Amino acid sequence: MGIRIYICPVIGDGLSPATAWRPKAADLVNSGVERFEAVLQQRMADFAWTLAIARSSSWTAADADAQLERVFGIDLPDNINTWPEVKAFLQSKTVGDIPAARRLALQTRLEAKGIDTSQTTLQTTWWQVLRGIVRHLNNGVLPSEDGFSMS
Amino acid sequence: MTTLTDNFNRANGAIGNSSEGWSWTVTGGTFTVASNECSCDSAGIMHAASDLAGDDHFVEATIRDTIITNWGITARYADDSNFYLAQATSTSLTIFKNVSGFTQIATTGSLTIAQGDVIKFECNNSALKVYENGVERVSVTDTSLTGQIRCGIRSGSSLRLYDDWSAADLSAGGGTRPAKMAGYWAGYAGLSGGFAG
Repeated sequence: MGIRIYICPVIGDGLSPATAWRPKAADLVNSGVERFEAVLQQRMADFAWTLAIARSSSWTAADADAQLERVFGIDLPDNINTWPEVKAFLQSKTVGDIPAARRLALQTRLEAKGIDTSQTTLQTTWWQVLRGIVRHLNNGVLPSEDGFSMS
Repeated sequence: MTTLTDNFNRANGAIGNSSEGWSWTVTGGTFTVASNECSCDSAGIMHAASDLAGDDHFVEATIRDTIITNWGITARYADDSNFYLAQATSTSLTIFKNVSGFTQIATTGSLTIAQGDVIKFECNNSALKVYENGVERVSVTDTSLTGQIRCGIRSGSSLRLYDDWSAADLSAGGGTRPAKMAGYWAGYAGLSGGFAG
């Protein structure tokens, strides 16, 4: 059961728990006894989209929805279950590791969301890419350290 | 260290004061005592009109419903637009934050939540965790609400039943922190980490 990191629309209106702002992935992931996680320090009402990290025993519903985009176009390996493992994996991969066609898709995906990729290089790690998205969603505030260079 | 409890073992009628003597403040809906349980007769929210010592605290209660939906307990409550909510249905536990609107920040997959289950919602610094009968079911990291030291009950629909409600500080001294660090991204908590570093 792998983990996926999605860019997906924010749905809901925030008026009640039943219609709370949430990533669309939340409604499409059948996570069984595993957990769906979405971390959203952003004020969701301020954005039409967000990041979500999800586990599921079946991705059928998620795969059927074109609005759910896996950030890096892949499932994380099945042996990754904890945040330190996620972080280590993302730090171990660079943009240069991504095949050219998928790399272009990633760039297109990010730029379509208004994220500046001009400083991204083949040496930029996936972790740094994710942090750039986080900063964008977090009104320009970047968590300290890690040397992220995307503006 | 402050502990608040209410076992609702008193005469049927208005929710009134707790078994310990402190009062409930109902800000929406109707809550009554019925058969030594708390009954939410119409969807609403109430909180203990008594402070805990700090914002690192837990709130817990026993589910007395047979059909479980919109059963919730609140922590770090300031007003009806500022609190965390742990909400149970018969198949899930979900953490919401209400900061001028509800945001779902974490939810479980399929569970079997039943009458008699004890649901505990713990807010420890930025870590928010929900337990079912002592087993952690869902967690997330969030820094949106700090410094708020009241807890309560929120029911999203009528005829929800609660028993043995309690709230307490996690440690002596309370540990209330300054206002949140604006914009700090805490991370994907269920995975126990963050973006810093």
